[in-house]
Amino acid sequence: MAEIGYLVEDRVAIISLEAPDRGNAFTPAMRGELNQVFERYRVDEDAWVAVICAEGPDFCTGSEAVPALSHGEQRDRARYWAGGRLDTIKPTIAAVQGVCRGEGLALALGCDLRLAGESVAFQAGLDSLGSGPNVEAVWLVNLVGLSVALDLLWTRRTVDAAQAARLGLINRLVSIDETPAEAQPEERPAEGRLPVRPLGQSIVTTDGSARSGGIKLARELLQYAPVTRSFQKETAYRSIGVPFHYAQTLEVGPNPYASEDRIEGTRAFVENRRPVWHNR
Amino acid sequence: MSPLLTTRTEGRVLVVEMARPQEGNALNRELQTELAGAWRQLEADEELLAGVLHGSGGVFSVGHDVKELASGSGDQADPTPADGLFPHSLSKPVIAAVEGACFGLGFELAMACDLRVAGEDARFGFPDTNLYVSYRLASALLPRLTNLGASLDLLLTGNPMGASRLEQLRLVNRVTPAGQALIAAMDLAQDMVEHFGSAMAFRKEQIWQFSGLPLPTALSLARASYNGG
Amino acid sequence: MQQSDIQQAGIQQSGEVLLREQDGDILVATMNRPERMNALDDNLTNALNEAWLDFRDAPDLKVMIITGAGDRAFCSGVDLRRNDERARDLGAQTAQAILDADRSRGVRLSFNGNNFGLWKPVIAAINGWCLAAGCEMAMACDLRIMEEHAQMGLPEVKRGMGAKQTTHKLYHLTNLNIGLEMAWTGDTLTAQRAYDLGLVTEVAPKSESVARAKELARRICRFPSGYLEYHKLRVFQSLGLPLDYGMSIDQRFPPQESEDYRTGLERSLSQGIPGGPGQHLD
Repeated sequence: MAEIGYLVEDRVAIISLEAPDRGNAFTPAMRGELNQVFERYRVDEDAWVAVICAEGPDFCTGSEAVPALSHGEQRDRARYWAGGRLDTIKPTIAAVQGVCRGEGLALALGCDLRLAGESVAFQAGLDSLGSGPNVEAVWLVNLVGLSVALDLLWTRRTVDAAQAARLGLINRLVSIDETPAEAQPEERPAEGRLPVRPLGQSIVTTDGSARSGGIKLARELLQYAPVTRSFQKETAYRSIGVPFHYAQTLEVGPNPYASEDRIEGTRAFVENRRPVWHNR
Repeated sequence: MSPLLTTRTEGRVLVVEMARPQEGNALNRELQTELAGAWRQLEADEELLAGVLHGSGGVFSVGHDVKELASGSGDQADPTPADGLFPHSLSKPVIAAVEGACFGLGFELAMACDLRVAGEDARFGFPDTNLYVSYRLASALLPRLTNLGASLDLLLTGNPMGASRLEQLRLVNRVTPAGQALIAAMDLAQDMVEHFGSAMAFRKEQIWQFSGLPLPTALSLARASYNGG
Repeated sequence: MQQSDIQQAGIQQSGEVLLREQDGDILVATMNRPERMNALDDNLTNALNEAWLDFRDAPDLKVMIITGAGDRAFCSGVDLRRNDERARDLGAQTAQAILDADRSRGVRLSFNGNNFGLWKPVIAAINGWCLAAGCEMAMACDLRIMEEHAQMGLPEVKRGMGAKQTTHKLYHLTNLNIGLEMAWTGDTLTAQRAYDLGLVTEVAPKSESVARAKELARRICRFPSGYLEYHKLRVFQSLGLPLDYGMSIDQRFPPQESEDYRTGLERSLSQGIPGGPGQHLD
């Protein structure tokens, strides 16, 4: 285990690609490690939200060319393309900087939410796949619609941070906070009701890295009900490709209305305080 | 060559022009049939890899030929689009270059192309409030290109939308200065055929199919096409 | 609750909690509990249910507009104080049992789920805070007009609830990314952001959403009801189906078979074809 990091801090799992010397390009071994780490996150009760990030200037430049893959290696490769999206009911956030293409793009698009640093360069050209599986296209069609998906896949344009935000390919931009540390206001104490904020504002961190932005967003999510998140994730994904009026009768994922957290959440609102979640 | 439609070949791109500018390129039965023929030619000719569709006279198409519907008989009085009119079922990409009006059946035709390049003055919608026909393709396809609210807005209010708004809503891929859509669409098409080299490489049928499939099904289809490496 | 009870409760209360105004083919319904940010209690819910049914069945009504009284709120959702009291009394499992029982009786009319075949267009005039069940109601409308100071959001995740009637359609209304972020953070959409996402048709100045919605409704009223219902139904029927199947669904009463079709063609010819030579593009 050397090229994929796994670290849990205060319920946030940080999964990092750690082969910056080759732009985090995947090898069969690294792929296998990533699958193991995803499995670890899936069953880790201390980890409620995962951030998938990468060391070095580029998130992932694709994959190392290998002459031939064993059957098992092929299976590994195919497996992680389902990414965080379908394998776990817990959130996965991709924190992307620099080049993101090929298998790296499949990994990032396979996460539930994406945020990106200013340096990001998504390259979705279908030609970068060769004969590989067309998993990016599945995600793109569902993320940005058929028209933009075909555009990105066929015209091979590089998508920068601002364009990615406009197209809805990413949720947030991460930018650097240039205010000196001593001038920073203290974190607001966690009291009173949860704040109401406008959706999709840039995330500002002291180093402006995608990783720190990802962790900040993960901590934000942790303020909210985990059972609700899991229910909503399952419902959102299982409703795709299902007739509309049938989709609204789906009962998938845990049921927040039968959870203890719901009683706590409502009571905290009425009592004007922050809720304490137990994920049950 | 019929005067209603002209085709020419540029490199490996088939350029198709609707040529009824006096009638706003209204899609009468004859023009619909000729368009279907052009798509058959594009699909059959192995030298051709992509198509570009545009209208002459600064108009894409105003849609159905209402005059023909009102006075015609048989097929000519039938507002149902001719078989093969819509190019989405081809294996090769087709780019619509849109200027001016792109209305009704003409809008559906542009939607059935893979990409849309529009001059900034182009207008899209279903504004003929006296034409009561069924927009079957648009009802199913619009929400997959844009979203539910914008689709209902276009279909129910009849209010047309401009090129920039529809770029924001993801239906238009590129906005150009007025009059430049065809040039930009040709550039895109040439660039694509240079890089992809074969109809198979576009994987068009598979990508269109992904829209409206459950994720696990779509993913296993994507993986099934994977032959190692 | 039986259907007749629902109607009775509605009739008793609709003069107070839900105001109705008919303007030609257009019905404007105003939720009228401004002191509670137009939160949904049983009376208001029943009055709304009665209004949806009346609108569906009235041959002289084509479009409905739903809005809130005052300039603070469109609707802030269900009354959480009442929910909290119930939860204290019943506990989690029992509360779910009641929901299940409601559903299995199959009598609950749901605008958000449109389980009663409402295919006429409904416009939300969002005049202020539009939250939780209020946001779900706006999302269940076909078109939305939002005042510049209004915000809409799904704060259910902050309370441990689910936004159950909406989570499955966020994907169709915005996109997968943004929809999930909205559900997971409870963060709100400003009017401008909602417009940029295509979730609202228009951003209106303060207090003008109803006037703008009426203007939009009048545009819609230019079409016959049959045309409108046919296309609304088609859009919802084909959502989530494989594309070819969605396009090829055979639906009864296509507009070209209606009595209006022939006279429409004549009118179209005499008035000129939009976009045709010498015609304006609008």
